Amino acid sequence: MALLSIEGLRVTYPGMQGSLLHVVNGVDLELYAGEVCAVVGESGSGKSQTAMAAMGLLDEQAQVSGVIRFQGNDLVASKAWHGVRGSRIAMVFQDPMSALNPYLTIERQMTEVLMVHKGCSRLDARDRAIKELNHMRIPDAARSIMRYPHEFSGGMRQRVLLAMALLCEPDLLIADEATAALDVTVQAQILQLLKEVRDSHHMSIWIITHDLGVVAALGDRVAVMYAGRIVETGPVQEVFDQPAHPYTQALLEAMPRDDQPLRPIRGQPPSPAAIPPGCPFHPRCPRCFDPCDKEMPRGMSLSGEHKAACHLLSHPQELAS
Amino acid sequence: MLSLILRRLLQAIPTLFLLITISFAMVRAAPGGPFSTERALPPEVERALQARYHLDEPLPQQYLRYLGSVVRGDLGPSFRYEEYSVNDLIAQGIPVTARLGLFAMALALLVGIGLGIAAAWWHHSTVDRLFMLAAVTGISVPSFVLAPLFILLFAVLWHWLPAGGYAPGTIAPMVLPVLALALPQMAYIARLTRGAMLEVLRSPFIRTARAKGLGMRLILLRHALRPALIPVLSYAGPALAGLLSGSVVVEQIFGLPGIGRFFIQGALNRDYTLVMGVTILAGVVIILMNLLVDLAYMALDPRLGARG
Ligand SMILES: Nc1ncnc2c1ncn2[C@@H]1O[C@H](COP(=O)(O)OP(=O)(O)OP(=O)(O)O)[C@@H](O)[C@H]1O
Ligand SMILES: [Mg+2]
Repeated sequence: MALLSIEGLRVTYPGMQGSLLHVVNGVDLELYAGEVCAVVGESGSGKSQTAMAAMGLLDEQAQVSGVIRFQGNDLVASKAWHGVRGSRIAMVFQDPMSALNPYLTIERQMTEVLMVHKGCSRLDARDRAIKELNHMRIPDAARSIMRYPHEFSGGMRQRVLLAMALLCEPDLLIADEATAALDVTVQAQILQLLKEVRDSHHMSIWIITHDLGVVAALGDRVAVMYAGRIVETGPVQEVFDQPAHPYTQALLEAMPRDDQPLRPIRGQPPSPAAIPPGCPFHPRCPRCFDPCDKEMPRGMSLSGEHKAACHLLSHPQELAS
Repeated sequence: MLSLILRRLLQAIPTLFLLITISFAMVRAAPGGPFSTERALPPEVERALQARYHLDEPLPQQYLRYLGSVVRGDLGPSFRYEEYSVNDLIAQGIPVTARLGLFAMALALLVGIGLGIAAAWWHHSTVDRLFMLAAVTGISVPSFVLAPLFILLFAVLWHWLPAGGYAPGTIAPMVLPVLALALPQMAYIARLTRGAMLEVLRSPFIRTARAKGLGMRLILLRHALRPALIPVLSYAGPALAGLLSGSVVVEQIFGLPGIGRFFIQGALNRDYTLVMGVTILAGVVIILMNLLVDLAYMALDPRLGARG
């Protein structure tokens, strides 16, 4: 059984003049214990909104439907995030510079997590926090913990945030572009830490990223998102070697390589206010043919875990041409 | 921190000098003089009085004389209350005015911040709307309207509290003046707090706090309140000094023997030294308040390096 299974998740916001913004449009995603699942896709494809929905952190105006089942409980229906958020599911965000409260010491911000979720005393919580900071290789953790966020560099702050997220030993860690704001060497260090965390804490990690290099380095499975839907998913190696969906192919080709000029995907992703009928990718798709602008393609299994939603898959003659 | 205090005090010297010079010029530019009453005094009496207070000297000389005595800490004799110096009068008035202002500000801060937090907590609810309606009303009704209204209601109509009369050590006569002075401030502070809280609640670090699974109480009181207090603080310091001018009217209406009343009497009587003395006092208070606000910033915000 999956640790987290998302079925038919939709998130809409009220837009201008009674219109609706379709931000997440029926996402199905499963996360298994101990695996690293990477969600990739262009900006605005709904990666963060999907994760925020799983955390129950969306704005009040957001209308959420579908099922988010975590360890058997449907969080959307029961709204029972209490005892889950921050303790069973933890999250780190993109910008470590602004994600810590500048007015409180690291100690305060870390110990409160344990005091709230585990009922620890302040001293016990402090010991636990120092241990976790040590794991994240914060130098001189026993003294560093008394400092304020502005006394740390960006990379160090992300380590602190990571340590903070791991305090309650969550079953699932969501890392939303956790390395995007850092420079390359620091990025590599944080990635290394995430790998170690995956191995030592034996937890599932859901990473959200633009960077296919991160996916290759860390991911077991990848899910490609476009216009609020998952268009292809499967084991990283398989998807990278044999991408089935033209969008995935385009993404992989757009990946910067030393020996080739950049080949960005033509056109713009659709706005959540006006998602094209049929396959939402068809206006940009080089392989677009007859049913693409009318019918939404259904997810098809290619081999075992590898699935994609594209009309090409059910039209072998088109696929061959 | 010490260097900040010292620097500010040094900076205050030219400010005060300017204040003295300008207010000297303005007081003297007003028509009439301290001894022009309805009944004209005999010329020789007037001349003797003028000579006694050096008013017969040329203005620049009077100015320098005044400046000299202020530097020595002597605000000069009052022209009207002959047996008192301005220092005496101010010393008499300060306890009353300070009590009025401090109580009013403390009340305004306590209740205002509390209401602001409550409104932010129940954002978009009826509570929020009711509070904000009350706050807008409160801000737009000034103390000089509230004061007579309170007298009418609480003193004349219902006899709950005295309308005036002050005796040292009693509380009842201070209640209505404190309320009249505090309410508009309270309303403003409530709105300021609510706005600042809502602003802070949109910051990324609040998102982190929510992702940590903290409850609303911790998020508001531990994570959001402190940064939200900064604009409140920068308002409250100067506002406390500003209460001095508010208390001018309130003291007059409730017959409280504070600095404000002396100021009005002084202005009406062209009691030059008294008016100047109160003005200088107000200047000093404003400067001290601003310094206090800066020190409080340093205490609130670790980035300002109280320990650097
Ligand atoms: N509160 C909101 N109200 C309306 N629309 C929103 C709101 N929050 C997000 N959106 C929209 O939802 C869409 C998806 O946003 P999301 O943050 O999930 O994208 P993303 O895939 O994480 O992109 P990025 O890679 O840039 O982080 C965007 O078009 C965004 O404008
Ligand atoms: Mg995002």
